[in-house]
Amino acid sequence: MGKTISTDLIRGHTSTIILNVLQQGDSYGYEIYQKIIQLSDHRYELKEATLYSAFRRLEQDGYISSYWGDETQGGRRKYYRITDSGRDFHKQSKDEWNIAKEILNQLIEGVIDLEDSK
Amino acid sequence: MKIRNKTLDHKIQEYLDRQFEEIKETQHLFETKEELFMNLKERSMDLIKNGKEEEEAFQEAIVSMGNLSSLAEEMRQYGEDPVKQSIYSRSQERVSTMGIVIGVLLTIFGFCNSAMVFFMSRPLNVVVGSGFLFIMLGISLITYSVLTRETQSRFAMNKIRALLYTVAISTIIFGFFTSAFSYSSTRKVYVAIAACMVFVLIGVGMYLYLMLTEKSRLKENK
Repeated sequence: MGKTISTDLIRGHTSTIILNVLQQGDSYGYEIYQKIIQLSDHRYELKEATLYSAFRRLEQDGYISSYWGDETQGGRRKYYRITDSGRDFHKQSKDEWNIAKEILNQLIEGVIDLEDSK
Repeated sequence: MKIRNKTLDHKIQEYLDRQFEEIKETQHLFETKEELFMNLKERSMDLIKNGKEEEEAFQEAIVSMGNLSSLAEEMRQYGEDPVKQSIYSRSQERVSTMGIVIGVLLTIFGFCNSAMVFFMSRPLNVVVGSGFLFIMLGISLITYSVLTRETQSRFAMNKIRALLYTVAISTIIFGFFTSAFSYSSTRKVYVAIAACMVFVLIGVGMYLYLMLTEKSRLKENK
């Protein structure tokens, strides 16, 4: 793992990240964990314990729903799928993020235009 | 291979029980622990496949899972919230209740049918035949509904397993009915035994297998 990213920066976006993964296909805990590592090119690891808390919240808010899969290796897997309101919430969060990204860029790298400050 | 997996399962279960110690056992907690169990199991098996020793793989899996205390806290709060708990199990309970009611009615209907035919002095095999289907359906429905229902002393069973139990029991009942039917048609005991043998063997075999691979779903009264 080369340059990694601070956990604090990602924390508020855990829900959106999970919704993005589920939008591209139903999945279960361990697989979602792996897909997130893959999405970040191995630069970010979202601990599974954090994921499970997020699943519960997302399910309570109606953005995802769960169902049990077949029994494999002596147990059954809990699969999650994104709901329609989940898709809407993801789109909304994505738009908000793009706006925030722009503003942050300006704040962090922007050059102050002296003429503007009257 | 089988023996190694047994101790891994126990280690994982022990670890999870410790993490969620002192928390009220609800259907939700039971299912959450099952989900976490599968996660740790799969992760450990992956590491073992890549050459790690079982103990090392187990430790790594736990570390990579992360700190479960905030999840435990959520489950503790959930356990103290009866409103949330009833929302969680409401629809499942309704289906199960309907299943039991319909199952009982079907079984009674089946017996009544047979009784009616009996008192109309029809031949014995017709008596058996007219009630058999309803009774078998009724008992299957009752079995499935009871198994997938959460009760005071144990949690609901996984649907697929419950279905297998139901099939096992239905097969055994079908065997009995077939033998009753053949006996009443032919009046020969050996025909009756032959007829039920196959079904009873299959049914009992399935049932035994399920019983032996059963994971405890009992609730511990804290």
